[in-house]
Amino acid sequence: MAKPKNPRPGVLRDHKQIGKRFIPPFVAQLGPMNEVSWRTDIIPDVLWLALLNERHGLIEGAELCRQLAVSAKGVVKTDQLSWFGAASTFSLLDNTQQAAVVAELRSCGALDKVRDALLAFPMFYPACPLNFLYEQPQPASPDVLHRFKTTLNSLFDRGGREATFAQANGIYIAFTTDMLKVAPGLALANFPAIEAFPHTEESKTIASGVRAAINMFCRQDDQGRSAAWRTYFWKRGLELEPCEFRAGAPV
Amino acid sequence: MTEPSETFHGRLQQIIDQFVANARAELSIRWSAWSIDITQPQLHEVVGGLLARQVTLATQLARAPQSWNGHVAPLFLRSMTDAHISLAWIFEAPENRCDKYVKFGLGQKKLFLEHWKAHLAQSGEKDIENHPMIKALEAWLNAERFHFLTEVAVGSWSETDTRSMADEAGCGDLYRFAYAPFSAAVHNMWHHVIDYNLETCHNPLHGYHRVPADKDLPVDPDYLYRAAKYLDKSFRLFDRKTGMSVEIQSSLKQLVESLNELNESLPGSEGEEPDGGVSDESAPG
Repeated sequence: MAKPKNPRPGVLRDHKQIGKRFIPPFVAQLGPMNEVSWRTDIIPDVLWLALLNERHGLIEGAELCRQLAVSAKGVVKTDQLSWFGAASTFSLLDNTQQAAVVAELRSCGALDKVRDALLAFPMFYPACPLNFLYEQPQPASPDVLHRFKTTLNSLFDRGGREATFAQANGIYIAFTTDMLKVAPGLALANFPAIEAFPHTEESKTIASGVRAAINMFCRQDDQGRSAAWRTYFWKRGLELEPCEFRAGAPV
Repeated sequence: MTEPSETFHGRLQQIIDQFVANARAELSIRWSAWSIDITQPQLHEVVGGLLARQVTLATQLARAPQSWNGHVAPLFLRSMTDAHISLAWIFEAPENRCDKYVKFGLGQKKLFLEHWKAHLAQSGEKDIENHPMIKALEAWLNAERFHFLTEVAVGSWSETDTRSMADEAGCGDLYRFAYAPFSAAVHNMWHHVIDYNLETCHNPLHGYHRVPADKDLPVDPDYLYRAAKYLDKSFRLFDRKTGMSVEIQSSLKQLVESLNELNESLPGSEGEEPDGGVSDESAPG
């Protein structure tokens, strides 16, 4: 009996076959990719953006993010472009620069609001790059941790509302610190329309562009700052609390 | 007064015992009805042996309800699908393929013998030829075929892959929807381990990582049904290929009826369509 040529036509037909491997068309066209994990690599850096939104609402949250980032950008004297959308970037600041940022936030009335939103960091993550905003140690509060966990939890759905607006804050920072310019006609050209997310097709398209841009910013060479922060962040999480299971501990 | 749970378990045990008896009876009646040519025993021994292997796998699984779960049942069921595919492929060219099957098996046994000899030599054993293990293995082999005349092949016994065998023998769906998925458990592959041996931690501070788990799973009679289904498949294959027709009720049919009756008798199932734990026989795999 002759061996059938293609016993089930249509299965993986759009994939490119190389030996025994079937490459998806997207990967075949673009070539090998360096993958970035939203969960492991990016969340620790953008969490602060979400915390400001959660505490003060989307409009004021975005503005507070911008003020902090612009203030930090203003004191860093370097030719290298640094994206202050990432929490880890703030570790670039020396003591003098940190003091200058605090002073500027205080003078425009933003400091207390920023501190209020980011309180979980000095309380539970002593090595967080944003802790320079606080003058004194903060006693641990279970309520603060609970809110922190709730906001963190909302970010695991990258395409969800909370994560989208946190990332949008990061792009807003990029625009307002002259790190991002967009040609007319591209998804991010009408960036303000993202405020309608997820209720319009345009806002969903912009959100897609936001996600792609965030990946780009998070992959820029930062001399290990982001890696150091995220490693500390997740390790500290294991120290703070035990694992939680729906049906009891498995081992 | 009899406890309801005892009644249920008692009835389930009866169903299992009846299935075992029926499965063995189906094998026995077919063997008895098959016209055997003693001058060419190989064909009958290979086919009969594989059919008996199917019965063994099905009845051993049936007798161990604690193994009717995704951890263990696939180990049995994948072996059953493999046996069926082998049987079906052998039937396509019985003389040549039975010979391949037998000689490959003998070669593997010889390879095991040679590994033992090497191991004993490495361990400093002085009298390897008279070592009990070596003598036993050689005696076993020589009873089948002199070991010094036995070839050893290290590829697949059929010299092709299981998927090709299945497609050629007309059981490609069994390969794709049963053999391949069950292989995940057999080979401890990632997509099995994720579901069965890792538990997700729901603490967001931990990033939803997973931790190792040995999960207790409920007993699912669907696995028993599948074993009976694959056994029935092999019996019907045998009947088709040998032109045989036997007068005996299918052990699968009896099992399905009994399980559905048991399910209907459970409290709370009155007037409902039985889910019975048994799957649609028309579904692939």
